Amino acid sequence: MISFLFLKRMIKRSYSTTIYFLIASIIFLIIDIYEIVTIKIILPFILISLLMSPSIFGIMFSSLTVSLFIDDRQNGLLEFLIAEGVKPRKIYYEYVLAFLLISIPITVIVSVILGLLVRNLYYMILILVNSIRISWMIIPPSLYLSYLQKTAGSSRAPLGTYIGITILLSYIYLGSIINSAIGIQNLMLYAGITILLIAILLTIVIGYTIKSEKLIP
Amino acid sequence: MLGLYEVSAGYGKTEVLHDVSFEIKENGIYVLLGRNGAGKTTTLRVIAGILPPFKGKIKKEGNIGYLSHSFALPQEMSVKESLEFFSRIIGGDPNNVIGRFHLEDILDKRISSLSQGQKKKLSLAKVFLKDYDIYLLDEPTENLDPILASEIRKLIVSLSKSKIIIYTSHNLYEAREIGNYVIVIDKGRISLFKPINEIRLREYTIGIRASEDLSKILKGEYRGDYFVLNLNNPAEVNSIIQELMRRNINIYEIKEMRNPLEDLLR
Repeated sequence: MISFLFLKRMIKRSYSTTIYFLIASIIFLIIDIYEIVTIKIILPFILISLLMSPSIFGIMFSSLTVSLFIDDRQNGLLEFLIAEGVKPRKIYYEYVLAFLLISIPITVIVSVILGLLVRNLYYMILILVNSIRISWMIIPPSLYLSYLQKTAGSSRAPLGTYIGITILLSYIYLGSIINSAIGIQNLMLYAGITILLIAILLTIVIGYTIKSEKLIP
Repeated sequence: MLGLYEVSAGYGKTEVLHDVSFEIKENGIYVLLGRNGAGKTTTLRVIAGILPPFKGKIKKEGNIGYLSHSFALPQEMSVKESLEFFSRIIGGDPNNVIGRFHLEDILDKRISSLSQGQKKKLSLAKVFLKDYDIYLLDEPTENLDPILASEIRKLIVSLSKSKIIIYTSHNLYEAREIGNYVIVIDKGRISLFKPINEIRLREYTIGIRASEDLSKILKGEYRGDYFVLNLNNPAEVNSIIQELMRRNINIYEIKEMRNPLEDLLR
């Protein structure tokens, strides 16, 4: 329940940023749809570029989650929650969950729209898995680095966002290096599932390392 | 009941509290005094369960309400929304604190636009959403206007009849006015724990405002309107009054010029 409240706060404290992120995602979605409609025959090479629109919202929205976490720690809100008996691990999971509550549905909606247009269930699954794992992979390291920082607002805070962008760009470049269609499909399948599992595992493991003394101002 | 037994605690590898032990069995107001960095906030954090101790044992009976030195408020919310936010997380009814803390006029205001005093009011209100057995209040009247500060003191005094209240303040007059016990912490160690009324002064300083120049009669000096003199014993005040009355001098006011708790921090 706390995660819903956190999510509401993330959006409310910066409506303009959230709207901008949504508009950016819609623009990328329109470009992807245009690509699918004009190309007609979808090759696995194109699949990589289709990851852009479902992933971009998660990459951008992670900054709102991290900044809320930093502010809440600085103003003593997290200290108050711990004093009220909320476990530090739970606090961390609530922020992750708040992020996933918005990024996953948007990623799923965009992936399904693209998958339906591609008319290939397997491709739809590949787009879905890969865009979810790009979004998910961003948040645990971003929050963890902010948690480790004694000085809020350091340039290391959005490291998770940089990781997300790097994964996305790596895909795009790998698409031009791997010239077999099967190779790309396999890459997207295995790398997608592996990184998604790593992201889930990382979320759980990091939760167990969170200490209350680092959540106080 | 609350007890700390040889508790050492701190941040990272830095130990701030060293073998702190005390036991509180009866309800009342326990004023925690100490200089900046002495370990007052760390003591409250350890009791509240925010900081796990490096060693030692903590015994607590009942739930704990904690007012930290920081406001701990979601800045983007209005006052009303924030009370609803806290009540959804910790429980309690916002309507019970809105009137009590005079929040009616600022309910729709965004927290980020509130004054420091208004933020403090709201911060206090959130702690009183629920009923606790032990209250840890880190400078509860700081930033408040005198009227509200006085109301908060009354609230704390009335609560103290059935609760344990540990209270930090830099306002020694306030601490003396409402406290039942004083706990002095110095460099992370408890240096004194006793009833406030048992605190004896090394020196007793009073100021007298009178109708005539007192410098020719008494040994002391003028500070503004007050003639200030040091006494060895408060009982000497009586003989001074008698002497001044015998000389037909009108006494307008006699007051303590120094708070006895100041001595504890020296």
